[in-house]
Amino acid sequence: MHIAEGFLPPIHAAAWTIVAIPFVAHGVREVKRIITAHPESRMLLGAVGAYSFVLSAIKLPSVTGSSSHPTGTGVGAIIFRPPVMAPLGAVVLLFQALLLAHGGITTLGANIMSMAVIGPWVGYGVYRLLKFAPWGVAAFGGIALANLATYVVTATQLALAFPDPSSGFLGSWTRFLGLFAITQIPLAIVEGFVGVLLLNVLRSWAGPELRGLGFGRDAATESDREVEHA
Amino acid sequence: MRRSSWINLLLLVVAVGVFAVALVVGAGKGDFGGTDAAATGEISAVAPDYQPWYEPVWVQPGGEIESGLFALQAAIGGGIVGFVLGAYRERRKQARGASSAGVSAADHPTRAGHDSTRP
Repeated sequence: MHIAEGFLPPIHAAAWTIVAIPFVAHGVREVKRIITAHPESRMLLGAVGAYSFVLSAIKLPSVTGSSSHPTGTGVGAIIFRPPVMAPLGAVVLLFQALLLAHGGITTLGANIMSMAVIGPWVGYGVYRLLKFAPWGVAAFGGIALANLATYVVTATQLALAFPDPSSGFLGSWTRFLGLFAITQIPLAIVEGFVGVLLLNVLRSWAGPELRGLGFGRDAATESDREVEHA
Repeated sequence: MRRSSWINLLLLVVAVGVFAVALVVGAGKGDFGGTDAAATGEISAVAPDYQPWYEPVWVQPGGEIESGLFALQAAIGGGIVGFVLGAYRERRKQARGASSAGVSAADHPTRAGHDSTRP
């Protein structure tokens, strides 16, 4: 999903940057608010940011014969709500733009919007919409779709910037979706399972922090089960 | 093993399984080039005249340096995640050890302060 440096026309690069700024600024405020209101959850916040750092460093093979990387933004979006992922994801993307020549400064805004804003919001939305389902299913859906949505957004951004001369935006969109989306599906599934695993572990070990953040429904499930087993 | 441990093991096995299937199915179709790089190729196909107007501020001199930096990124992230999980695990273990009197608040961390901390 990293649009390479210089590969968005200046107008598009500037527009996505302007759109991304308020999300990052709001996210920074949210991080500060959370640290003040829930100082005990600082380590947890660091962990979800670091999780995205690891996952976006790993390129995984896919069924299409291409490789791509997960985003790691879904877990943080579910625990802390999506706004905090904007600055956390921005740090990841900036590291990769400066040190790895992956993505870029001119495309940072567009990449923040896909990976650190829209992906997390879609994931969180799916997680909330699936509230009737067992929480593990809801979390899996949210995490996997945060990953997949990121790449759908990238395809959209590229199609907007480079519409096909004959078939226009839709033709170009299909093209970029074909490149990204199919490759991403198995990766999204893998990330979904790994994310649920991480959440499971956190529920066992970081229960007080999660409850403090209002992770109530899940805590209740765990509590009920433990009471049953007692 | 506790039920939740079995579930976690199963999640891990399934994740590795999907990875393996993707690897085997994909191996016949390509050499696993990155989609990010493929996207720039696709841009050139749609807009042959487009020239990137900005260069990366720094390009690593060689693939070895690049893979080293990727490894560093993963190591930093993995190190922090591991540290935090280890700290939480140890805290829970100590809380359990401290209250040896059977079923206690520490054994039921989800019950202690169940409602008081809700926003």
